[in-house]
Amino acid sequence: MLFQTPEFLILMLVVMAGIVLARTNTLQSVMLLLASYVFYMSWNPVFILLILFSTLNDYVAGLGMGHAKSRRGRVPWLVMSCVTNLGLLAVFKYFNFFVDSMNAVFIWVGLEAVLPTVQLTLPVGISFYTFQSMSYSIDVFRGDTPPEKSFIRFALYVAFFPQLVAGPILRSTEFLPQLYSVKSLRAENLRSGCHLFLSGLVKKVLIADHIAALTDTIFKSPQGLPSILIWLGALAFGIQVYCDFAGYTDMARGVCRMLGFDIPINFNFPFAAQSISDFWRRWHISLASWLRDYLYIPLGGNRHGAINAYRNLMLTMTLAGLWHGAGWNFVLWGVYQGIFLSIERVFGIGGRKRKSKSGEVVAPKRTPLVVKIMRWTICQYFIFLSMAVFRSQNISDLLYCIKKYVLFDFDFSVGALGLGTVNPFLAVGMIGLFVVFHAWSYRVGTLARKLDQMTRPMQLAVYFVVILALFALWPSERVDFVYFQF
Amino acid sequence: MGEVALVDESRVARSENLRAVASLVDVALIVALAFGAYLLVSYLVVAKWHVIPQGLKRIVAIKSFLDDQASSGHHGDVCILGSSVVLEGIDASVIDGMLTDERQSYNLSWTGATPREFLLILPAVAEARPSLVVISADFGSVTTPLPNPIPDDRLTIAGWWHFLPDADHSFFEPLFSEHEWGVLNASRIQDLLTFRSLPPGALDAFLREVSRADLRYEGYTTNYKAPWIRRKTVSQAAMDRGIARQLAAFAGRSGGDLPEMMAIFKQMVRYLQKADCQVLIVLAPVHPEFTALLDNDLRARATEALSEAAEETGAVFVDHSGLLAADEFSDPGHPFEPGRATWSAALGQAILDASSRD
Repeated sequence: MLFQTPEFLILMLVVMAGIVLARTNTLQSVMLLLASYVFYMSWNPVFILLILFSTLNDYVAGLGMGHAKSRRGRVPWLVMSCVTNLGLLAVFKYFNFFVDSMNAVFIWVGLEAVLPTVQLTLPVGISFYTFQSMSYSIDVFRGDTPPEKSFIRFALYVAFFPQLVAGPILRSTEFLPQLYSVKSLRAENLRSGCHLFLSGLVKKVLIADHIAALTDTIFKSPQGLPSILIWLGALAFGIQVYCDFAGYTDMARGVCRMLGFDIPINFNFPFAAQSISDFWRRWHISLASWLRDYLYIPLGGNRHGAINAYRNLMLTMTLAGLWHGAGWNFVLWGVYQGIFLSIERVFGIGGRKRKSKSGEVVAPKRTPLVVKIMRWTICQYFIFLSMAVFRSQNISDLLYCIKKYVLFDFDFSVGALGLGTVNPFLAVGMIGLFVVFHAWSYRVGTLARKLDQMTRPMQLAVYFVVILALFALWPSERVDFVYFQF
Repeated sequence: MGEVALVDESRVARSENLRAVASLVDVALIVALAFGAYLLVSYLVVAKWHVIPQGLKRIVAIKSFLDDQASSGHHGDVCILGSSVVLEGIDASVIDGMLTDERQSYNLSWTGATPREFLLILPAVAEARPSLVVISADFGSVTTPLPNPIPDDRLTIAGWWHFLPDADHSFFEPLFSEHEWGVLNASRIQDLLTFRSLPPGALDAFLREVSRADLRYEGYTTNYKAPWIRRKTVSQAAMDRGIARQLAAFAGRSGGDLPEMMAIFKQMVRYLQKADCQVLIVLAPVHPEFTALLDNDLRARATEALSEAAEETGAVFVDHSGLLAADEFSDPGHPFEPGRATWSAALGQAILDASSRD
């Protein structure tokens, strides 16, 4: 059940009616939980058992930690939570990857590939809700949040439908308190939520979905393509995945706001970044901050010398790559990010706070515009190269893409090569539209924020134009969200 | 505005909730208004002004051309139906030069056409009463496992412009899948919704064609005489890649649906024969490098099936699959000068031979 389908509209109407009719927050939570499970079961009903298992596991772990008298007494519960959540991921997401890799090693050393793979369907959103659920256990362990006594509220925190399948990854500290108040529908929330939802639809339906066919064609079989098409593919995929994911987040935030909830932003103009560190403060913010708080800092962060800091950075980013998918290209993508973050740390690039000899934070020097442009250009060059790495389907394609991206061949014979049945000009037009839209939003504010500030007649005029464009350019075929596969 | 207003009161009046919902009524009205505007624009742009991709526009134009032929009372010409292989590989004026009578030949092929797509145009062809209809087949389209669905946009334009007369519905319904038949007989509003992809596709096709050096766009839709000319061949790398892609498309094909495919062919032949049209089935030329890599058994069975279908129905079958040399192709699938001249002459001769059988 995608956000942009009639089924979801019906679900929303039912949920809104439920909010109106349910008079206590417990009843509202029960209704929202049921709606969330219906939403999740629309993909595969069987996997509801998995999410229930994960929920029960962390709920019990939280209560267990609450009853433990010492930090030491909480450790077994935390271990149970982490082992179970990571175990679910290991089985459903990484088992076949591990088996395939081991078999490849066996063949490489001259043995037979003996390990059997298992036909497993990846449960949608498993990476998101296991991380979300696990963060609760870690927070309870640390004493950052009290254990949640209500199973219904905790289950709703794990499975809240707007962000269940593709985030943002919520922290219990920011979401659970919101479940203690009675929700009501309010005109300003409904309207503001609609603005966010519309903004997300524009990104997803008008831009991402129209670029998808172009990137699919280029990366399906990139070998033999000239550099210009590899560049176009990398650019197109970067924009597609951003619009797809940020569009989903906008719609999720819009739905939450309509229902009276507030969830954090997940993107903040990543293509304005002037360094890879800056990029990671703007891209998939909820994952980046999760990895920082629950992996990088517990590993020691930058507290035990430079070498350890680089090791922790590399480990964190490699696991970030693996989180995205069970494939060596994702691992290499993570390593790539780790290397660049380490290089930036070595050279002091990326907005680290400068300190004086006395230890005080010093205001950064004013950077000349030329330097800013140079930094931005270099940063974006490497970001889009990483997109090609991310999108490649195998190592051979990946190496070819890197080669053609870095060593530009000046072969512009796109016409002779053709792009099959894809509408390349429409896709390129949408890329252009995105560049203009993104730059405009960066300068004057996002579409949703601008809509919030407009008079009602102006809002309705914009709605009319945008909805007309959506009707006219709605893709003929359903295009799933890219991040659903993670 | 912009920030969530968290409500802590436990006794919010229900009427306040309803007032909040009512505040979105104007949005619902705007959505309805935009939908109405969309339908109107879609009707004007696509149905009235024909802002649709060239490929689809050609199909509509062919139907219109055949309707004009039927109403003019001028019968007895030669119609050639095929895909882009025929479109680029047959020069109707060469055939005209070979025909000894006053008959004219028309290349009524369109890009991407499969034999099942010819079903859409069949009533118009029969109504125009040509003396002979050439149906071109190729290994790809004949051996594709069924159902090899016809794209929705093609079915929609066929439905909108009534390609299939109501009187023939009982004949055609079993030849289409349930989905295809549903699209063909969809409501006008559904058609207008499907039309949404056509104007962007038209713009894209236009830009794609005019940006090419070989100017294939010019006169494409209504040119049924001169071939759709490519002025240069693709690079060797693109040729190799194309052959590999074609070969990959054949992977796993067993030809298991050949009997069903031939049943459709036979139905088409009989439908045309009822309108006193002689039918010539021609197996189109294939790039020799591709032929060398293709499964010999599958190739032989496809050829034999076509031959048998022709024999059973009284149609004429000619096999031109090995007619052209590698340098007579512009890419892995399409003939190029002098292949066009060679094939046009061969087909002209086949038409003469078939006509003399009468």
